[in-house]
Amino acid sequence: MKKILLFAIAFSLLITLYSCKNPPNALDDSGLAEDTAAQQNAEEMGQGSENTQAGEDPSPNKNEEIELQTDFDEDSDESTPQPGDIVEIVDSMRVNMSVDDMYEKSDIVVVGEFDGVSYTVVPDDTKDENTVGTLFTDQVVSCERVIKGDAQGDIRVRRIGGKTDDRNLSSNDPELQEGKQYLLFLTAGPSVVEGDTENYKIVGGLGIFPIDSDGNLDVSSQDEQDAQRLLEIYSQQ
Amino acid sequence: MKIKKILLCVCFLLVFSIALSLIAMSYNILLFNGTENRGIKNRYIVFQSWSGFTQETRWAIDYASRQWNNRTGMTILYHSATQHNSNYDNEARDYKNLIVKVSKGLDNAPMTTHAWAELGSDGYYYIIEADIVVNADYPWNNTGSSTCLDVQNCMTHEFGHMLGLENVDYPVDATMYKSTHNGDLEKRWLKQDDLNGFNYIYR
Repeated sequence: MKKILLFAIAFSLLITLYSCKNPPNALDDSGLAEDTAAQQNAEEMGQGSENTQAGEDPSPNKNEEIELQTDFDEDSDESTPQPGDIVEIVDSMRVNMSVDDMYEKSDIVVVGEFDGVSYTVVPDDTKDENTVGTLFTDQVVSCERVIKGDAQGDIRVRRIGGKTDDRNLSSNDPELQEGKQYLLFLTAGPSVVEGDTENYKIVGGLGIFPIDSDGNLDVSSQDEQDAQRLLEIYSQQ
Repeated sequence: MKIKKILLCVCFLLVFSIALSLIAMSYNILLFNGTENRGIKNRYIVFQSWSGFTQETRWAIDYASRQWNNRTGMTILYHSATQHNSNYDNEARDYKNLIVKVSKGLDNAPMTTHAWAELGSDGYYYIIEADIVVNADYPWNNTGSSTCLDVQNCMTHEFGHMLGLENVDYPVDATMYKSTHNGDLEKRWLKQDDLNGFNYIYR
C-alpha cells in the first residue's frame, strides 16, 4: 500500500513540476551564453543606430532558411503560411471600468446577434490621422433590442485587425462569435473611409457580455454590484 | 476498505496535481495568425524612446525594461541612449523599435503594442519588430498617484507583449493581467506567472 501511495505522490509531483515548465531562476548555461552573445551583438551594432532592428538575423543559417522557403514555394498554396511570412498584432491595455461608467460612455447599448458577416476596412489615410496604417474588421450585428440611444436594423461593430493581400493584422479587440447574442455597450467609431457612418466600437474593449441560448446574460466576469447593474440594464425594455 | 482508501488518496492527489497545473499554466502566449510565437528572433531587442519624454519617464521606461532583464536573468531589452523624434505612430514597419507618445483619444487604449512576427522554418513565429504607443490623452505620471496611470506599471506590461506574452485573466496581480486603473503599481513587479510565461517562450 505504501508503495502505491509513494508512486501516486511521485506521479503527482512530476505532473506539477512539468506544468511549471522550468523554474525562472534555473538559468542554464545556454541561456547565459545567449545573453552574453546578445549583449556583444548589441554593442557591436551600437545602441540607437538607425539600422537597429530586432529582425535582422545575423546567424549563418539564413541561407538555409531561404532554401527551405524556396522548397515550400514550389508547391505553394497561397493561403498556407510560408516561412518568412510576416504577420502583425496590436495588443491594447484596458482600463478597468464600472458598468455605470460603461453605460455613461456608450452612445448606444443594444442586444444583438452576430450573423457571421464581417469584412476588412482599409482606412483612407486622409480621413483620420489616428487610424493611418491600421486595418479594421466590421462585424455586422442585427439589433434585436435598443436599450440606450438610437439604432435600427444592422449595425457594424468595428475591431482592430483584418487581412488584405499583403497584410495580416490581428488584435486583442473582442471578436464576436457567429450566431451568438450579446449585450453590447458601443460608442461611435472613427470615420475612416468616405461615407463611413453607423459603425461602432465596444466601449473600452470591455463592454461585451454574451447571452446564452436561454436568454440568460453571462455576468460571471463581474463583481456582485456590477453584475446586479448589468442585469438591471439588460432587463430594461 | 483499504483498497478504497488508497484509490481515494490517488484520486485526490491527481485532482490536486491537475488543479496546481492549471494555476501554474495561466499565462498566455501571443498568437500570430493562430500560432504561438517563440519570442524575439535575435533574443535581444534595442528600443528607442521619444525625445519628448521627461527624464523621469525615461527612467520609468528603463526600470520597466530592467525588471524583465533582472528577474529573468536574460538581458533581452536594451534601452537605446539615442532618442527618436517621431511623435506620431504611422503603424508601419520601419525596422525600428520605437516608444512613441501620440494623442489617440480617450476612446482608445492608454497603451498599445504593435508587433510584427516572421514565420520560421520550424512553424513558429518570431518577433522581428515592436513599437509601443503611449496615448497622450490619458493622465500619466511616475509616482503612482491615484488620479493617474503609472508609466512604469503600464510599460512593464507592454514589454511583456514585446517579448511575446499575451494578457491573462488570472492572477489579477500579474504584470500581464489584462487591465489597469489609476494608481495601479502592481504590474511594476513581475510575478511567478509572468516568469513562467517567459520561461515557456525562451528556455
